[in-house]
Amino acid sequence: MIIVIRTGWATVSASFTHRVLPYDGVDEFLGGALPFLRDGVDAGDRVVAVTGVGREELLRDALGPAAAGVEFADAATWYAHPTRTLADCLGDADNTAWQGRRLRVLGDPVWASRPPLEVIEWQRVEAIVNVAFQGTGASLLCPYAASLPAGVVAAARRTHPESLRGVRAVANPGYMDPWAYSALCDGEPLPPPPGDADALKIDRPDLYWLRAYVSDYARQTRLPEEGVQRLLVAVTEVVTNALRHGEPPIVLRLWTDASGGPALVCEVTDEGRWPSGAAYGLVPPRPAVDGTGGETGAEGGGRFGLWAVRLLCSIVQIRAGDGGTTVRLRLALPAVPAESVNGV
Amino acid sequence: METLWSIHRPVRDLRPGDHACLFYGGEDEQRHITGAFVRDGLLAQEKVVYLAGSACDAVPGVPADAPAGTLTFLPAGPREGGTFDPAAAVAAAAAEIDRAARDGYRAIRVAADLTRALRSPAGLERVLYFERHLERTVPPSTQVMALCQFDRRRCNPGEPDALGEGHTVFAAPDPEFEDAVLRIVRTFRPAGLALSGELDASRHTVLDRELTASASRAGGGDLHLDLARLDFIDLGAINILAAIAASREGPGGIVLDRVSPQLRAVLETVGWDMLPGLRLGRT
Repeated sequence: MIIVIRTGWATVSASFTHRVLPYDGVDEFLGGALPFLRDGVDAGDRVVAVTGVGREELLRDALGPAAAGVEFADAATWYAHPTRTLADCLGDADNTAWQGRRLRVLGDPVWASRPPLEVIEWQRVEAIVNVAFQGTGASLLCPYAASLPAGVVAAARRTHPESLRGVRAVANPGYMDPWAYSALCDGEPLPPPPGDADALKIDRPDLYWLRAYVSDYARQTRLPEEGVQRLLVAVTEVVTNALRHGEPPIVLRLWTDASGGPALVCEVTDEGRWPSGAAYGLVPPRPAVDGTGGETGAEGGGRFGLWAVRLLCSIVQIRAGDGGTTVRLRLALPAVPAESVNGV
Repeated sequence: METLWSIHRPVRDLRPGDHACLFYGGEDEQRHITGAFVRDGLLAQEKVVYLAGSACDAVPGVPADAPAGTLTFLPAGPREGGTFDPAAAVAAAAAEIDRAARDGYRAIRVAADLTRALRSPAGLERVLYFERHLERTVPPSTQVMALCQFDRRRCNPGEPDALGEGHTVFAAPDPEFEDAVLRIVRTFRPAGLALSGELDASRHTVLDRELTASASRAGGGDLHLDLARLDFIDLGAINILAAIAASREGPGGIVLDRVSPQLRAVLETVGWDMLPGLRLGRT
């Protein structure tokens, strides 16, 4: 459990850094990563290196005794889900700051095996980090190999204010305002739903029947029971928003999508427009005791409506424009049919 | 005591022919449940016969404007150190029932707090004699219903089983709120509410109202929510729980008891750090 308490920062510097370490080969990687980690150990920071097993061995050898001051985390586990990883890491940063220390993370994400939709969400998180971590004093360094697809490296220069060259930080001229970058992530029109998608027009406020309909559909897929419950909470939230703030007709569609990682897709559309500056749930709200900060919005879930929807689903896509509003929730389906399809 | 076959029925749904039983854990619970039984009867112009240890035991639930003569109090003894006379109690109750029937009452409610009788010499045996009489006369009746009460704290092991057996139904509190989708019932030990059904934006106002009332009853102590039968809760309702927990004065938080694994997964996804003041209780 992570306890986020935003007090006691006075003891650490509030200056937060988020740098990209572009590298070509092991020497350049170590040339940037080692001083970053060593400085942290020397300064008494909480130092975390998120990386694969091979890299961990390399770093341990190079660090020598200093490796004892570094926590190593497996990248595949740590980078499990864009929004959840952001929430956990931010919680760690707050918690460490509260203890009077700085959180220092070397984050080496897994890019190669991710479907394109997921890559977009991780890139968005890289941008949102610049807003969310303000005031935590944390120091984040993200190594990007030159061997990655050119687009991935180019995006990193837009989402990190600075690059590390050797031990010198230089400003990235292409760095974009995080919200502008995030809007770019939502720029592509969504592919239309398949013609055979189940469609339901929602015209009554009691969502009991809607949930019965959605869970009937979801239980015919391989979505595990816990996923069904996540979906029901998420879809209730999105439809509640549409009923409160949107314009009829409100239509719910369900289908399964095999492209880009098999997923159950649940889409809610309405004819309403979102006001400019509406919350997309990208930044974690602050706990109730605080009562201020974070994105504000009139979601039915109060402080954490759309933020929680993002935590509950694998991917949330929002398109809010003049042509109405579409919120598409994707829940990843297990790739291999489970043994217990019939609940045996 | 409360075996699988036992039926729990809200007091408002008790009907003539029901011989109901209540083991209360405190005066608040007795006031709430027995009080409703008495009040419903008096407001509906039914006869209420109340048996208890002595006349100084206040009858719960008597409205200020109760029609004169509709409530009769029967001191069923025993005095301190004396014995309970079940035959006399049976005779007194039967006489009141006969009189009420002659007076033209549609329905007759007998409420008996037999705790003091139970604790007098040979109490269990004598109370069971009284119960057997009710068992023979109430269920076949189309007019009479009975509510027998015992203070659970003053029962010996085994007594609730022996006493409960002769009753057709256990009296349960009336819901604070009930519709086709959601039911909210007050709980006493621990103090709080039991929620069943589904909870979403259509019922946020009700939830807010009932939680606020329950929190004020709980004073500074923990407020327990029994969620065993809650099949769905939306984010807005979770937010209401967190907001009320955060706004409470004193050390008490909101304890979520018997949370289903599905709901627990949702709460954990939202993150307990987002929900200060809420915590998981017994499973």
